[in-house]
Amino acid sequence: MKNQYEASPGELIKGKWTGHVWRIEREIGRGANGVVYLVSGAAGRAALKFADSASVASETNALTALERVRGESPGPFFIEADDLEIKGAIYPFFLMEFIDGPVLHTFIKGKREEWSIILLIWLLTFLESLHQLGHVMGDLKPENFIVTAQKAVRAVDVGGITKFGRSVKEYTALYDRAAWQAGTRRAEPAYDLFGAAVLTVALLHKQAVQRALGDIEELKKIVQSSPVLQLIEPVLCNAFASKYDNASSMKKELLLCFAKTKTRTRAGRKKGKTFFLGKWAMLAGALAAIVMLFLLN
Amino acid sequence: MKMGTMKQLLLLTDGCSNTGEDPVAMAAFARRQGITVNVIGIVDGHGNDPGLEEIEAIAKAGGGESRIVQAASLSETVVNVTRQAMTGTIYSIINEELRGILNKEANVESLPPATRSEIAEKVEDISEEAELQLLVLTDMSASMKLKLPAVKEALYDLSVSMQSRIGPSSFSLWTFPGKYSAAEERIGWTNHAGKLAESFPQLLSGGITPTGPAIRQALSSFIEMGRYDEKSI
Repeated sequence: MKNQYEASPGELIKGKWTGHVWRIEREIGRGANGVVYLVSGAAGRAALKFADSASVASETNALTALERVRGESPGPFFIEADDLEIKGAIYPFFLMEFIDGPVLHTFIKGKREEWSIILLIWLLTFLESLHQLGHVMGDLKPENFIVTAQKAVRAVDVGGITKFGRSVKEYTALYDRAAWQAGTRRAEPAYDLFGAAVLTVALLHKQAVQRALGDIEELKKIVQSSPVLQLIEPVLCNAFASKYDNASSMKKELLLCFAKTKTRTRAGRKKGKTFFLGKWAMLAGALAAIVMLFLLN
Repeated sequence: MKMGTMKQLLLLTDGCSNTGEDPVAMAAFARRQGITVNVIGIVDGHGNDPGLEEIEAIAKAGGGESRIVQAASLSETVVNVTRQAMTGTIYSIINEELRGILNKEANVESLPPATRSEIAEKVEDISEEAELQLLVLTDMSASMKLKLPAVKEALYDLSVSMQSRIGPSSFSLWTFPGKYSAAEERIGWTNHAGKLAESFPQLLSGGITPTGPAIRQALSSFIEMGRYDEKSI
């Protein structure tokens, strides 16, 4: 990697173009192409990312492209881009809204497995609004998403965001449709929906999914062997086969799937498991209710 | 801005060249012909091989990117290097233009951030839509034996990404050392990226590593291609 600027807590970063001063509080993320710090300045707290000039410019474009809807963005709001100049060397950086909250896999830790389905619904809501803007997320790894206090999923890394029709800019093999030999790497809604389905499975069974990488049949077996994922198996399998061309239809089927599963479990299993079954039906019912509430919201 | 063909040579190797011309000089020669040379060094351990410096030097002279990786992360690296080298080529053309307009030290970074973003948008359009010629030159000397499955997989992965591009692309695969010469052509220029992985040879060639001569011979392939196609950069 090219020479990257390493800042330390307490350091003051002065922008060459705007003259704005930002104080580094702590490092909050580190990726292949840059380091992100939490900073505070005259305008309040923000996230500051140092990266090479080309990445700063292209991420700036991705962020502003997400702000077409006034007052809302599926990603962080863009604040400004600038350079730090030290001894003649230029270190480009940009500032964006600091989104506070746990990343997906931290959020689900210690919670019931059913939460993975709730997360999938929130993630689909996020993808709906992103796709409406004509872009795909591309890189669907759990570290790239945060669950906000408003119970929504928002992206914190926009490096993979790609216009429809192009080849996906950045991806992680585990969530990549092409790596599973299940389709192209062309930026289209179905690419993200595939990744979202794998992400849901990997939130619960990361190691098994890693071992299965490249073999979609093996992935389906993981779904079948998980009591929670079984509930939404048809939807996951459709997403694996790129059968949905938009996030809304996948979300709709996901909810319908819940309702059906509830009645089927009540009717069709053997005796001796009735206690377990009753508990399940109640759970599924409660889950469906929660989901409905979110939808109505 | 009108863009001709982007020409790239991607060298996959695991270490030192040990015979023939200096590969760094050959890479510099390639660059003068308008061909970018990228190098990926595939290592076993934590990489303190003496060959690593050479890998960086070849890419630097060839105006391209270099990476040192373990076989396991080869796939992602091959795609990223190819992509970054494309944008790198376009940026270096823009920098040259800027030096013509502004001054000798000017480059994209001397422009304000907002202008840079506009440029980045154009660069992305161009790298997605311009014609690409990519020649993959693979080291098949004895020490590569265990790495060949990873190379094959990486080429498959690369072909998937390239097939998703909007612009036309053509590919060629060369390996070295060759039976009768430093390097030999395995797959001639084709528009089917898939052929790279499908017909990737499984047999090793031998002990010597004539990286320099191999680059020189592979370059001839671009020149032949250029006879049919006069609109290169």
